[in-house]
Amino acid sequence: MIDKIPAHHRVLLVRCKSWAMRGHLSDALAALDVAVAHDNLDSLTKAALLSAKAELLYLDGRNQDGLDIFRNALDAISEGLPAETRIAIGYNRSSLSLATLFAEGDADAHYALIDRSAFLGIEMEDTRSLLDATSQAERGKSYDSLPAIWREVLRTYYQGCWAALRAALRYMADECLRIGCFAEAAYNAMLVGQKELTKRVADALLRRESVDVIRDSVNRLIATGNLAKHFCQACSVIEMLHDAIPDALLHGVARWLLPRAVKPADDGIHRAAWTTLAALAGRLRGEAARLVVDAAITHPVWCRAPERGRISVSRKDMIRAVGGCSDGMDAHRLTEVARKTLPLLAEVKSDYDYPEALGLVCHLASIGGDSLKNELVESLYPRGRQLDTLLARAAHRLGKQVGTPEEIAVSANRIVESYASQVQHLNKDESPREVFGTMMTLTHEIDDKKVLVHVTNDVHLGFLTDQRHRLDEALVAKVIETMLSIVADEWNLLSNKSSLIWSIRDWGDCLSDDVAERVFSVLGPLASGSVYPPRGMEETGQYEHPLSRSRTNLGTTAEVQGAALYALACIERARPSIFGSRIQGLIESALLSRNSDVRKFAHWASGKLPNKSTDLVSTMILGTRDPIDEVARAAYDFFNDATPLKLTRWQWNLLIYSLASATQSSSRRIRASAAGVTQALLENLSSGVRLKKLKKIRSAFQRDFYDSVRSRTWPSR
Amino acid sequence: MDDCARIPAWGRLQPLLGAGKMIFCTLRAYVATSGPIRASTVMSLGSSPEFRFVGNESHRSLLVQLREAVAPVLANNLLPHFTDHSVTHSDNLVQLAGALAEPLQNSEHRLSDDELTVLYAACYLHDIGMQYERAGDTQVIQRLKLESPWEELSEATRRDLLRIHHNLISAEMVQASVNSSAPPIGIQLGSRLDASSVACLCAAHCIDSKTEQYDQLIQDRPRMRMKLLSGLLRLADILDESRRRASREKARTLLLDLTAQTHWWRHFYTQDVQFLSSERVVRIWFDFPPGSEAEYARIVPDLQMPWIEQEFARHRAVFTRYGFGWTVEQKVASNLYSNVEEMPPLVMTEMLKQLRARRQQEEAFSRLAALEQFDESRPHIERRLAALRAQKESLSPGDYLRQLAAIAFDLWDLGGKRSSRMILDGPFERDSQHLSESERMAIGTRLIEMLNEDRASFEAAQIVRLLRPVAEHLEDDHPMRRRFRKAAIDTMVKECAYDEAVVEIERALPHAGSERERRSLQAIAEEMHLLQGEHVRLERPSEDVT
Repeated sequence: MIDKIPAHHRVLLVRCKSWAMRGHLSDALAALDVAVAHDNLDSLTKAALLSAKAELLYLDGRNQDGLDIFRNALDAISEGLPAETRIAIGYNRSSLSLATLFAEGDADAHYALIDRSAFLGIEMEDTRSLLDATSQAERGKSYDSLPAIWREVLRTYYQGCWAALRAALRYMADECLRIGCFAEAAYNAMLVGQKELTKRVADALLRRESVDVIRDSVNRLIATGNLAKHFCQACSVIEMLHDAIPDALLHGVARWLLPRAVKPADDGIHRAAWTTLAALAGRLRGEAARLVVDAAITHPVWCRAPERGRISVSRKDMIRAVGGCSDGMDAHRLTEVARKTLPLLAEVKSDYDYPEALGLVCHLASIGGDSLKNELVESLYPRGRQLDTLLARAAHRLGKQVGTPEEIAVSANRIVESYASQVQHLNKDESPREVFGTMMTLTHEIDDKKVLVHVTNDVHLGFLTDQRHRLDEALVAKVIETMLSIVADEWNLLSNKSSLIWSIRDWGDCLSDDVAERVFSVLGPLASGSVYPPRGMEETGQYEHPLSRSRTNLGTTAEVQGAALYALACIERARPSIFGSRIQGLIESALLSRNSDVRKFAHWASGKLPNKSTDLVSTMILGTRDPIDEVARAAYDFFNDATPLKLTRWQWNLLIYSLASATQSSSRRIRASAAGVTQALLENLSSGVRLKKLKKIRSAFQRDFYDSVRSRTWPSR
Repeated sequence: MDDCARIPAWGRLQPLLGAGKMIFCTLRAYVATSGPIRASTVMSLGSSPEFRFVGNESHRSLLVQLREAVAPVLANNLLPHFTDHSVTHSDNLVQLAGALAEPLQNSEHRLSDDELTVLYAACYLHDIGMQYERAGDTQVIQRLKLESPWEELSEATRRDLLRIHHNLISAEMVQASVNSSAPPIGIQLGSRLDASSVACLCAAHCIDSKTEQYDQLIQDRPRMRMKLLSGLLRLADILDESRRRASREKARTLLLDLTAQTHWWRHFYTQDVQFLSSERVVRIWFDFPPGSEAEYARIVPDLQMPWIEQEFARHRAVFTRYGFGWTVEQKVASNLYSNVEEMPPLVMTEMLKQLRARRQQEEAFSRLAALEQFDESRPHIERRLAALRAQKESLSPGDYLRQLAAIAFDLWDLGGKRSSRMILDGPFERDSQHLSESERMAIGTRLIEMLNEDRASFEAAQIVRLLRPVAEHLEDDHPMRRRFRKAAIDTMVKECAYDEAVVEIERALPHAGSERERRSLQAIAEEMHLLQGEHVRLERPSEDVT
């Protein structure tokens, strides 16, 4: 279509698109309107101009306005156009219809369009050429694949079908990655708007670890990501790059985000802006941080309750952003922000962001000093207020005791009874009992019976754990016995079992010897690896299989084994020597597991043991060189323990070598963990060769590409 | 009046006119002339048709006797779901065959009485096998070696076999009636009728005319032009596929499957056949429900007409040999007060499906035809190529390349894109220096264009780089240089050689032959900037642009 219209109109289209992308949409639309208003335009040119205008509106999320262009003008014009152009315009219309919830008639029209294309032998996308190009690229022949993909980009641009151009640009983005044109890849990913591609591109940019690449890419994104759809995609990329964005660029990015963030509309653009700000917030300082917090706490979305039956998705990110910016606030500001946050837990409360709002209040209380904490406690827990579970849990964090021991005992009994019903064996026509915190329920039907397994959250169990010291011995035993019996149920899901076992880890300080022994009798075999898939789901991998359409993480055997190891180690820490060599044997065995998840948990469990033998420390040092990043990080965590370790000279040498090697690691997380350990070790040294060596290593981490690594070397952290 | 008046209703009779004038030949007309309408099952037959052009009374009398004899057999109606196959259908055929033969009868190639008798007799006998319930006795059926005896087969199976083999059964019945005391057709055939020829026409009336079997059946004989007679019979048969054989009243009494329904409705909407004698035109009239004419006109004639046109095309050569021919055309009747019913939606869907299937078939044929043409041209090109290669040693490199280019360009024009550019690309890169500069530019530029069209922009870029210095020698506004520049820009753009493309465009801009060309170059450049994300190279639109 576009290659058939007069050249000066082609130039106009280019400029209007560029102009709109650079933030001058209204001028671009006006220029197109002027051009369309000319009397002597042929139908094709008019169609191309109107289609371009509709595209700009579509890209800016003004789908209804875009559709109106079709209804009022383009539909009629396209009747007389060549078949291919008609089809291209039809697909553009479908893109808009699809974006406006696609009424049934639109769906019929869309599928009829596909059929018409097939009859005409018109393929909007030249998939054969693209497949061929991909195959060449896979063989390393980008000198062949790049021109082929580029030709498809050109062809689809001239053809005028938006979706087909985006499809070609998707290939172009991947090709740009292959040939090292990262900024171009990011730009194309923004135009394409596909989640997987965005992630692929962001990952590639991060792997490159080049400040220049990040700067060029981010600059290009914020220069051209101004239409709504482009803005959202650019935000996705920047959010993923947040840890790598150079400090000098942060202010510019925030300045690009803020105008969208302060807009009153709670739409996709608003959400994207706040999601990105939330990711960046921890790195924002001074004026930028102040502006972000102000934008959040004065925003209508923050200040007003969502309409009935609706939620405000972006408020959750606004809360996160405020939390991220809170570290640099003075007491006055903390108080101001805390007071502005309290309504989110009361008059403008929304279940969707309630946990985050509560978390923010607790965080502000923890860094705002006793005065603020007391003020917040008084506001949150006025006498006679009915407490929900989350607020009751928050009381524990805020140092506020809620309820009488009798009330707590009543609650505990109710919670235990509810959890006891996590797995229910019923007759087919029997109604199930309600279980607190149920997120989903799996049903197995066997003849005239059925087994219901509830997937639950652990909020209520968490409350019980917080209040464990206020329960009497018998009730503690009842709680633990109930949890163990559900863990042992062969029908229960692995994810449920892991969750329950994680909760048990904190109960060590109130277990009697007998109960502790009972815990070991159930968790010990699990910690040794005797974990089996639940009944009815013997094919453990079925939910993760690539051919499975419903990918649900229902837990793994390694997670259950690891949780059991960790829980037993935690109890051992609370009750030193209660399991003694039995837990050490289990951990030593797990440290040699072929399953990296089990090794990871074993390293964590090692860190919890009260007595760390020389052998165990040596094993942990060697664990920092585990080929699996997660395991190595778990090994580093061992050395982050608050209690300083006494290392032998040989161990010092080994550990310093590990840390020095970690500076060269390709894994950001390993480097971050190693940087944290380096800083922790340095804070316990005052002089000597080791100090010098560690300072040199720290200096390497301080120059790291990632903020998350650099920040681990800050003494205050 | 470019058209003749049509008979609007029953009873408005127009006499058949003489040679050179327009004649009407519709069933309505015929029936009206022949007396009252009677259902095919009524044994009172009414008058015989005219048996036009038969001069010999004994032949005419034979035909009348034959008609009376076969009428009860044709009235058996063993296949009730079929459109009318009674003697009325045969009478129609006699009428239609006479009308078709009319131009011939005014010429030196006129049909003899014997030929006319055979033709008219075949009109009565061609479908008689369809009504022969005792077909199990025929050799045609016996040769099939059915698993069960004929009588034990289900009625549906028997009817199916009758339908499939009715032409051969008809032929056998005719043969079996020669001098027979119990003639299956109800009348003994003697020497007055060439029964063998009639049998052949019956056997051939519905088989594919491109087959060997057809050719064998209708070989011309002394004083019996079988090809001509067969053509007339088959055309008459197909022209009788119309409303007169498919009354809605009867259809409503039958449980027709969807395919049968479409058949009936198609007949029903085919209102009449009209012979415009002076123009040698056979006009098929369609009549559709008021308000649906346009929609139906896109469906029904497209289903009906191709069969008729194909049948006419099959016999055109034979007719031409005898100095006559007919053109077929279609016309949709316009009648505001028509009572024609609309077909049920499912029938229309089925018709659309049939139409789709037919068009798919036509497309496939069309593609095959294009391929066949290409395949036919290849040996010719290969011979030229072989001849040229054989003389390679004796030719100068320049002459060889020149002739090779000519062959490659011809092959390109014939559709052999990949082959042609592969023939020329290597030799041109190797030996182009042996050509004069103008030839080098002409052949090279065309080769670049071919390579670009065949998505070989890398190879095209090689040629561009090879020719660039040569192009520099040409005047800036030389047409060949301009064409080369255009090809070079196209190449660099397609090759994604962004910087090179920009340079080429910048070089070309000052030499643009017109404002239009200049703007076109500017458009290419700016489109590249946009698609490469180089927004900084793009400006804000100015007023003159808008």
